Amino acid sequence: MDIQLITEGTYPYYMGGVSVWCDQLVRALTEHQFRVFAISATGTEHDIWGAPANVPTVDSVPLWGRTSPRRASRALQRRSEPVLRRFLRSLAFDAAEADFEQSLRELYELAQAGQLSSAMSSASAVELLLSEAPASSGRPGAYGFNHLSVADAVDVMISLEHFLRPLAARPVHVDLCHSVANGLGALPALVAKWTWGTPFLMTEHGLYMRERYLSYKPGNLNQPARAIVLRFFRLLVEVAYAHADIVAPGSGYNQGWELANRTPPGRIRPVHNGVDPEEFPAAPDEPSAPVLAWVGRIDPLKDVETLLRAFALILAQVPQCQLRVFGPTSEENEQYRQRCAKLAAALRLDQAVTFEGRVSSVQEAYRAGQVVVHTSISEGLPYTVLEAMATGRPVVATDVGGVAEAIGDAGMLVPPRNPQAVADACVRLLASPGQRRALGAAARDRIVQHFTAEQCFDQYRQIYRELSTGHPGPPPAQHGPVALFQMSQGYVSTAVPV
Amino acid sequence: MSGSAQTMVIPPGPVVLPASLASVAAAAPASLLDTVVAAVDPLEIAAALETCGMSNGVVRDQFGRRDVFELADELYAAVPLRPAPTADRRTYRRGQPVDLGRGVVFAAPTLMFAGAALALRSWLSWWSVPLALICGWACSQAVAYVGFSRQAYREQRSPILVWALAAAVAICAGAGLAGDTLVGGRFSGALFAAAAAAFMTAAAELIAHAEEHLIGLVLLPGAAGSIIYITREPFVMPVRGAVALAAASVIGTVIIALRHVPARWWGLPVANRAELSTLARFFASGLCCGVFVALFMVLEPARGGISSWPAVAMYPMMLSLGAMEWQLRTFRAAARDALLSSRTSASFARSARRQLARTMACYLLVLLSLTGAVLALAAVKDVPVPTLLVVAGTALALAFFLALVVAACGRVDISLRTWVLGIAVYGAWGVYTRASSPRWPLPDARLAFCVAAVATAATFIVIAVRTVTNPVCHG
Repeated sequence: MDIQLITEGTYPYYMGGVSVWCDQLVRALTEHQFRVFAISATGTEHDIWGAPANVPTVDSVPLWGRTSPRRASRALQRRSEPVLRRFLRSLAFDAAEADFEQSLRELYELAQAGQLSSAMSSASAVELLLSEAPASSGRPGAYGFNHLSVADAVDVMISLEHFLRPLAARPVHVDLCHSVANGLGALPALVAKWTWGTPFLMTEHGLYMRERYLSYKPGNLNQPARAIVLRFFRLLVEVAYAHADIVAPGSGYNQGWELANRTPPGRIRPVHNGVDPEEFPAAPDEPSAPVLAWVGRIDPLKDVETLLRAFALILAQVPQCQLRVFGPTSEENEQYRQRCAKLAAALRLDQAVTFEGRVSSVQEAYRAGQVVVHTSISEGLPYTVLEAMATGRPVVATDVGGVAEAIGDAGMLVPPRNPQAVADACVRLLASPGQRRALGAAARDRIVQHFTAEQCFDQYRQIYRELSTGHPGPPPAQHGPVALFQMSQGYVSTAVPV
Repeated sequence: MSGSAQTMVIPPGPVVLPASLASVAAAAPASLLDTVVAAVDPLEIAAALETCGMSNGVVRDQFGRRDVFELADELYAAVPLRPAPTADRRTYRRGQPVDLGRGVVFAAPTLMFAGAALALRSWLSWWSVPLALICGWACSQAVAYVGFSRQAYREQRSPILVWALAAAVAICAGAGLAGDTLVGGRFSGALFAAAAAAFMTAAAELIAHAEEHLIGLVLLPGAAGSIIYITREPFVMPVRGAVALAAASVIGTVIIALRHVPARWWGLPVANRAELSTLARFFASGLCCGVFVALFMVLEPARGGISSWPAVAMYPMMLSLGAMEWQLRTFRAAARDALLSSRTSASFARSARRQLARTMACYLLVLLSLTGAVLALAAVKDVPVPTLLVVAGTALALAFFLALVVAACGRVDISLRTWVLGIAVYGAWGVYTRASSPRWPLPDARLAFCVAAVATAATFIVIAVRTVTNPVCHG
């Protein structure tokens, strides 16, 4: 099959769990050809994964890259005004979803004519937004878009112009569009669906909409501007869910969000991520000293600050304990890393915490700790947890996204943003070599049984086959993700089998 | 809403949850309530609940709701939306006295190259200085564009400097060879042009990295040598000494600037076609600025070579570069503040026009004061300066200032078109005059230059007003 693999901010330009997954996918399913459509930041990114032979093309659409400045002519303003007006009206809280989809199609036509960016970056578009001011909310006490300042209107129009840039890319006629996230990555898939009826598969590792809410939290933008931007994303996400032939969340937990965003229940097919147990063999022994390992990229969503606060509490009980933080920091998160370093200094952890940056062997990073800690506030089904478990290390992880499904009874779950809970779980494990061994072995077994890459990609083979033929495949395996999800519904469990 | 940055403050008064949600209020951290009062829809509250540790399991066990979505719906319906807090807004720094100091750094190379040109006058050709000006201006604009755009996106370094230096040297060598064979002169003049262009190009990289102080340091030997050479008092500076010091300054600047080139120095300097197109516009804009001034240097009537009058006429502009920087920053900050506080496009346009008028008036005041000082100095030295040149120099300085304003608003394309128009006016006169009078130098060159400069400045005033009143240009 000829498949368009659509990514946003991940493969092939960035590291991270989703990129790892994409790389595994294209290398595992060599019988298919993948044309990568990567939504990137600025267009200055380089392919850091080295595409295999079955990836003939990598097309990039930089969302924030510079465009050639071009003034919107009067003729263009006349042509685009009704389209933009309908689009802005469709963002009102009480507008029909169909209106948004229709206006998206019109914007696509404008974009294909090379006119959308100029039209949306014009003074008249800003004026239109100020004058249209659709109601943002039906909530009691709501005050609507009429409180937009000119700066708000400019911010909104510029943001929307950037977000809609994927519509300007020429659509590719393929057998299947496989978007690795909802949101902007769904735009090319929607276009292909409108144009040729191309089947549309959506994989969701994290939850696009939830992450947008966390990014655009109160205070990051003025409230009316924030309301418009979030409304745009929510409508886009809902339209994409409605058109996707299959939505494959990386964890059962995510289904709740997908259903809340009106995904037809019959189209949701959870597929867990997996790792290669041979690539992550069980570690033969553990460090003799009490060491905690944290592995991941330094990012606010990973909540390194809770990790540090928890570690300060741990040190009070286990003074010789060390914390080794492994993982890179992207340029945009450099400030956050500095904030974490300052926090570590303020908590007097300098001697006990080391930020080790990117590591050449992630296996060694997991082995470096007696316990692996994971403190994210938002996740899909994180590889760091799966890999640590495959290595046979006991894991203390926050109960977010699909983490509970991965850990089951083979690790310790704690609430997010709760340093005391993290500290209690870690101290408990550090004090008990027997518990560590038992949990590590159980973790390894769980991965081998339920979370191998082979199992994951076999399911994708099946889904591709179904979508290409239009025939439904066999029901999910008995111990498939839904079953695991149901098993993990018993809330935060810190019961440890010994 | 004020234009100044404000921190997010939840309006006074506690968030009151109904009795049915009292247990949630007790367990919820303050950050959750911040989100609840400002949530745009229930799902935003659901996201906040989850990140506070309230998963479906917690919600079911502790609060007796089916899942986070049910609890979020309840909270959304029960808590009225509070007028949302004002977010921190990006504002620009206003001009400061330090910007005036930066102007000295920009003006110093003129002095250094004046000394070097004087020392090498027998080696130079009439086209050396104009060639350096055109080539250096174009390449430095390209380097500055890429440098600033990389910083704006907090991206990795670009190898643009290597490309621009290579282009500068290649163009100067090629033009030198052509000049040598076609219009006469010395190929050695191309070396001077290449050095000057390389300096301008490297300096642009340093300016983009806010390292003007390094330029100042490296310029010290070259500028000092030139001053001594030109004044010849109280020391006598040999030709080789003045040239060696200037060369050391050039080489030093290039070496320091090359620090910013990435390890993959052979890589492409731009990311995509759009960026290449903008880069080309900046290059062309610099080229036009260079051509505009160079044409006048070449066509100005002089006895035996290039006249020094254009240089004298340009002094006030060179000395006012710091004031340009100061006023540009002040204008941008004021326009941004106006954008933040305006409720309608019309009120913003009024504010922007007012700020532009104010900033132009301030700059003109500085420029005219400097012009007066230069003229007074010339009068003391008994050197008459042609009035037409003074007018042209003033108009050109204003045009450069407004071109900066327009380019800072992201519209280098309009700026470029205006420069082309100015050159066209001047070029049309040159072609017409040359056709009707084969004499050299051409008559009325000074008047034509003055007309072209004033026309260009007037056009820039019109387009600057139109550009700065577009709110998108300040976003």
